[in-house]
This record gives sequence, structure tokens and C-alpha cells, in this order.
Amino acid sequence: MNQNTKGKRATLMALVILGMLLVPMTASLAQMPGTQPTPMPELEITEIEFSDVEPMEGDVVTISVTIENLNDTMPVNDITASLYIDFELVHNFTAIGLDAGASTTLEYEWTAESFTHNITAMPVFNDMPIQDGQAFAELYVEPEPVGDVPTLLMALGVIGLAVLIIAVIPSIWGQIRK
Amino acid sequence: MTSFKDDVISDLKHVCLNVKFEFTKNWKKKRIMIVMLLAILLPVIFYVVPLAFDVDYAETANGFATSNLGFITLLIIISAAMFTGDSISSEFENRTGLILFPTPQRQNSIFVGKYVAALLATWLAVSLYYLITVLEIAQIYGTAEVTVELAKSFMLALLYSASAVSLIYFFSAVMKRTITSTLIGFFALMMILPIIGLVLSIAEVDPWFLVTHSSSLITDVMNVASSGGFGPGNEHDVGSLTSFSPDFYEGIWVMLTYTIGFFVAGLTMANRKKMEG
Repeated sequence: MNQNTKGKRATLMALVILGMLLVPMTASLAQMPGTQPTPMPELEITEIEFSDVEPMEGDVVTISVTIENLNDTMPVNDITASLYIDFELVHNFTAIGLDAGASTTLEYEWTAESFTHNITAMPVFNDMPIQDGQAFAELYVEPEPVGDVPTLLMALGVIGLAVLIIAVIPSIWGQIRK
Repeated sequence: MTSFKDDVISDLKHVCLNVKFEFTKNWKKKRIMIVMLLAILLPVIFYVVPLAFDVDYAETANGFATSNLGFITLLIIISAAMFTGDSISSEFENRTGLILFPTPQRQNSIFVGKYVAALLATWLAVSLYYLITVLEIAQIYGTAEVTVELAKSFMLALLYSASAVSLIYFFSAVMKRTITSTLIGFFALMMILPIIGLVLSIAEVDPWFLVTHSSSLITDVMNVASSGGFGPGNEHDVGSLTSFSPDFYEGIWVMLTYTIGFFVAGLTMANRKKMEG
């Protein structure tokens, strides 16, 4: 009988200890990020604008990115806006704070390279990109004209002159020898 | 005793006479006809094929011209090989020099005349190719779309023609047989130099000194393909391969050096060459 009671007590003790261990563990698990998903803020890139829509190669173009908090009740802080040119990250606008329903415009200066480029901007919150809020625009950069006509005309003239001189070299040589 | 002025005029007259003679020879051998036919047919393909298969032309006139001019170097090489390949070697191989050299004209005038004739014939073919391209652009996009870039491309094609003619002329002076000089000249420009350029590019060495590398300026000046810009050391990755774009001014220098250098070298060799037997 005694042994039976002792066994029951031991089981009860073990359960209490297990319970004492489990309660704080579950509490801390509930506080861990990701286990209880934080609602993503409603951020959107509403506009991408260029200071020059027909730039030449080498021009400095200011890319203006407008980011808006679409939520009318909840302000969002510590937002990042990532700017990609031809799918390569070129700049991160960090520590952006937006009041409920507010928007802000961010600027980035870029030295234009020739031909067509895809410019993409995407809001990032808590290191999570908000893909629904991204926007993109295309920009064609006129390449700088290569070379010039006078140089080419001069080069062709040099060939003509060289052939002419070579054609009469025996005469020139003969004159020198006289 | 003749004066210096008379000497110069006489030399130039002899050169002109040889140019005329070479042109007549090339005309009779139907070489001019064949090259002119090619100069018309190649650009016409780019106009007719999209029309026949209901395919859209390029969006811009420069884009159309760029695709059209992709074959201009081929025409230049064929033309230069045809008109220059046998210009000197044939005189020694066929022993026609035995009749030509004792005539009262300087050997120098004969060889300069041959060079000028080959150069003019190649330039004629190139001009015809560009004329057809311009007509096509005017028909498809309107005359306003004929840009200054096309004029620059035309002049670069003329420059490249001159260097191709000079290189083959040099081979013609060095080689004993017509077929060897023609084939070596043709394959040097068509395969050997481009392969060297490719190998150097793989080794990440800019092949700026190769005339075939400079020839890509003919289409580069059209400013259409995203070739990644220009300039020495201007490299960009195409897959795992690094390709280099020629610099405009450097390319012109290279073409000029090939033209004058190989012409002078070929002429010197030809003037020193002796008729055997």
C-alpha cells in the first residue's frame, strides 16, 4: 500500500515539475517572432518618377520613389524601400516612418547608362519584402553618339593622300637623287 | 630631261591607266558583276523575307540597318579577296609580268594602280550595299529616318575595306600562287583573326590591335545593340565570356595602320620581286 502511495506521489511530482517547465516555455514561444505572425503593414510604392524622361548616357537622373501607408489607422515605422535597377539592388532607403495614410517621396541620384532599364522599388518591413507593394518603371537612356564624321573623313583623306604620295614616290626619289 | 612636275603627272597617268586596265579585266572576268549582285541581294533579303513571312521589321530604322549591316563585313572580305587576291601574284604565276613590266611605266605605278583598282571596286560594292539599305529604310521608315549614324557606319565600312584590301594585297605580294594568296587573305579576315580575337577575349585580353575587332564599329556606331559601351578596357560579360567593344578612335587608328602599313609592305615586296626563269 505504502509503495502504491509513494508511486502516485512520485508521478504527481513529476507532472508538477513538467508543468512548471512547460508553462514558461509556451509563454516564451508565444512571444517569439513568426510563431504568431505580426500583421504586415499595407505599404505600397505608388509612383516612380525620373527627373529626366529622355536622358542621355552619362546624365545624372534623380529617381523619385513615392511610398504610401495605405492603412488609415496604423502608423508604421522603420520601413525600408529597396531600389533595383535591372533587377540589381542599388540602394536601400532606410528608417522611414509613415503616419496612417501618409506618404513620402524618396530620391536617389543615378548616372544613366545607355539603353533600356527596368527600375523597380519595393517596400520592406522587418526584413520582409512586401511584393504586393512594389512598382516598376522603364527608362530608355539615349546612348552617347559614338565617334564623329570629321574624324572619319580625315581618316579617309589620309588614305587617299598616302596612296597619292606612294604613287609618286619614284618621281620624288628621282628628284632628290638629281 | 623631264621636269619633276612632268614625272609626277606621268606617274599618276600610269596609275590611272592601270586602274582602268584592272577594272576592264575584272569586268571581263565577271567579278564586278558577281560582287555587285551580292551587294544587291544581301540587303534585299532583309527587306523581302519579313515581307514574305509577314514578320514585323525592326522598331527603329537604326535597328533595321544594324541587322542589315551584319553581313557587310562578309561582302567586304569576299570583294577584297576577289579583287586583290591575285593582283600581284598572278603577274608572277601566269608570267604576264614578262609583258607588263617592260612597258614604259614604272613597276611602282603598275602595283599602285592594281591596289587602287581593287580598293575602288570594293568601295563600289560597299556603296551599293549601303545605297540599297538607305532605299529600304526610306521606303519602310521614311527618309527622315536616314541618320548620321548610317553615314558614320558607311565611312567605317570604307575604312575597313581599305584595311582588308591592304592585308590581302600584302599576301598577294608575298605568296607565289594566286590561290594561296586569295585563300590566306580570305581566311585570315574570315576566321584566323576573329578566332585569335575570341581566344584573347576568353583570356580577358582586349584584342584592340586586330582589324577584325575594329570592324565591329561598323554596326556599333548605329547605337542599337546593348553592346555595353565603348572604350579601351570596356568589357562586359556575355554569359561566362568577356567580350570587348572597340574604342572608336583606337579602331580608326588600327584600320589606318593596317591600310597604310600592309599597302607599303606589299608594294615594297612587289617592287623587289623578280621574275624567275
